[in-house]
Amino acid sequence: MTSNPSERYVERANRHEARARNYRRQAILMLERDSDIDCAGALLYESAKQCINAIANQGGGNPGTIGGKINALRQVAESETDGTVLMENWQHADKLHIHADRGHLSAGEFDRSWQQAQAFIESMLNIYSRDA
Amino acid sequence: MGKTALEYVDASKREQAAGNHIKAAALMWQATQATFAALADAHGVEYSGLDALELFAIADALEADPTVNRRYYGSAIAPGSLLKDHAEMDVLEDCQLELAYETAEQFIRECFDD
Repeated sequence: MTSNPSERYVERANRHEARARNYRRQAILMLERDSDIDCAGALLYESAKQCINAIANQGGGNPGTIGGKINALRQVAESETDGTVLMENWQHADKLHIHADRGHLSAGEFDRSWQQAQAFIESMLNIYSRDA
Repeated sequence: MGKTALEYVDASKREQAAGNHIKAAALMWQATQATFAALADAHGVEYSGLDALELFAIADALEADPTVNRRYYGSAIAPGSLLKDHAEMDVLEDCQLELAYETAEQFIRECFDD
């Protein structure tokens, strides 16, 4: 049981980081084992969201809505050299999320957004580890 | 060519201001396409069309060119492409639209500021 808010945020951050890694692992497995691009894309998007949550928690924030997550990402991007790339690659993750619902991407487009979303997650997890 | 891309941006901003987001989103996607076409022309990259995969091919060529010393182009396709999705399917929430407009325009203006 936590005794103060900062401990609660650390706990949340750790949990969100673990979920980000686990969702990413499961997404890759789903793509490689089952070729299920809809579910894999949706899970990779969830991993990307958990990355934002984890870093926001580190700073004492707790974004809930998608708007809250975008605001949190803007704050992260402001302090990073490649902040613009982070915001762009987050939108590749968004495309995977839309594809899970609409199935609108060609295999080639899915593959490219998948790679860019992976780059987003990797960068965010590196930022998280650096600041932990 | 560059003027055309910036004209698309300006047209998109007028539609954004008028609240016509389907049209505004389509125009910003056209601005993104025109930007990649201008970049390809400027750096001698051949292309046969301007769909999303063609833009990625142009991005790969630019990133592989040692004389192009600026940024990651593959990531920059996302905002415009996401706006294309919105123009076709009306799928983005306001906060997502705002980010896509902002980052698409930022990329385009950076390209023509060089």
